[in-house]
Amino acid sequence: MTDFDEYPPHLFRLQEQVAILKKDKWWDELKNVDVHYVQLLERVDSIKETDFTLSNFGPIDPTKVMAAFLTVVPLIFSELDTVTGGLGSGLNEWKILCPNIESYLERGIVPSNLLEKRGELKFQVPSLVPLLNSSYKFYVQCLDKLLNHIDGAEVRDIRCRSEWAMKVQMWTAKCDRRPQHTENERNWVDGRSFETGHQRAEETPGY
Amino acid sequence: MAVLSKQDINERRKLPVTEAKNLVITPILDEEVFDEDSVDLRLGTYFLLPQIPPQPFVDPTSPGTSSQSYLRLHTPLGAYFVLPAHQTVLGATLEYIKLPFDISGQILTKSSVARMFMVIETAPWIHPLYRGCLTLEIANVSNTAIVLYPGMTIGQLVLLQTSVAEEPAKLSGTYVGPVYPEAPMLREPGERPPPQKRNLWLNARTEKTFRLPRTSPYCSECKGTGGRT
Repeated sequence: MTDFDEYPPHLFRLQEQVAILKKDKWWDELKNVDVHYVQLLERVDSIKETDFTLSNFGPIDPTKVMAAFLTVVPLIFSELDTVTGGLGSGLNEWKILCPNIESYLERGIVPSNLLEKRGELKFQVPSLVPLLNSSYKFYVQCLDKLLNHIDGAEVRDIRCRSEWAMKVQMWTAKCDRRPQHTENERNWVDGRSFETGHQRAEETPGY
Repeated sequence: MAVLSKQDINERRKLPVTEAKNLVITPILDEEVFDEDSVDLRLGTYFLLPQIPPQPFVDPTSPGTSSQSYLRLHTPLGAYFVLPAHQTVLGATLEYIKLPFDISGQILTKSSVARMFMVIETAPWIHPLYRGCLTLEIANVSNTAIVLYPGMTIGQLVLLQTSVAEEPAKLSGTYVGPVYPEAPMLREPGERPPPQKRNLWLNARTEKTFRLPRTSPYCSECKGTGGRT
């Protein structure tokens, strides 16, 4: 199972994904999600590095290739950390917003502006990572809740589930109003088109 | 049946979605879209352009009519769409709306738009519990082409209190969730639409038509070509 004729194999890549999830603390949240993907990742994570072997690698000693590769991997991660060091994982925002996003999706509402507090006109705009992860968690865990709100929807009907899963996907895509998009809209609302705003930015000295 | 004021609307917007009387209009970029008795709505980025059928008529009872007679178009924000004189197109509002069980709505053409002889809605009534982007039947009834910019204010939503006493246990799937303009789904009274035909966008067989052809005379990205290759 762990003998591959090319490297890194998909299982190794998945293992690295789990390592990243653990490093960013996402795994602590995801491991409790009741879905078979988690079990798969757990199984993959349990494979030892030494269990991976190479074959059909020509005249080169596969043991040396493996050793070299495993030496290089941490260096690659180090470089990646340098590039992406300032980026947040989105975990904290996800913890705060996920229940609210699920609540919107459960009722067939696009979760682009989430009411912060009852009685106040203050809204939170979820970032992309918390939005996508919340939406996907809703899809794998809570689609039944949505279907239970819909007259005639059959929880066990695969076509019905597929149809409403697509709607969840569309509602999530509808939220994709990242700052640059929203800014474009504001530009338009202000009477300036996107093209005009873009040209102005380019013309600004030092841009 | 009373028209909701700006204060009434905002009181509803302040309720969490878990409460039955909650009202959602999203995204709201600017609170100035609220007039004293209406909310301005903007034009979305997706369109269904009616195609000239091979036969000299449209038969509403013919299977597949709705999905085959429209060209799907996506005009991104910042681009524009030219609606020729005396032509029609289906569009949608940029805003996604969720009405509570005791509120009906009506969408009206903005007077500034109407004075260009453009009509955006011929079936303006919105039932309680509706949630989705509103499909607009846009018609240019003037003698000149009109340029449509996604994001432009095009209509106004008037909300009316109804006397419905309580929220029904379940929602009708027909009214939940469209984010694109919807083609007509003509069927016999009482007949449920087959699942695969409920949303034209879900059956995207020709996704390439999400964007206008580069040579289309309707597309702002084809400036200078005059629609010719």
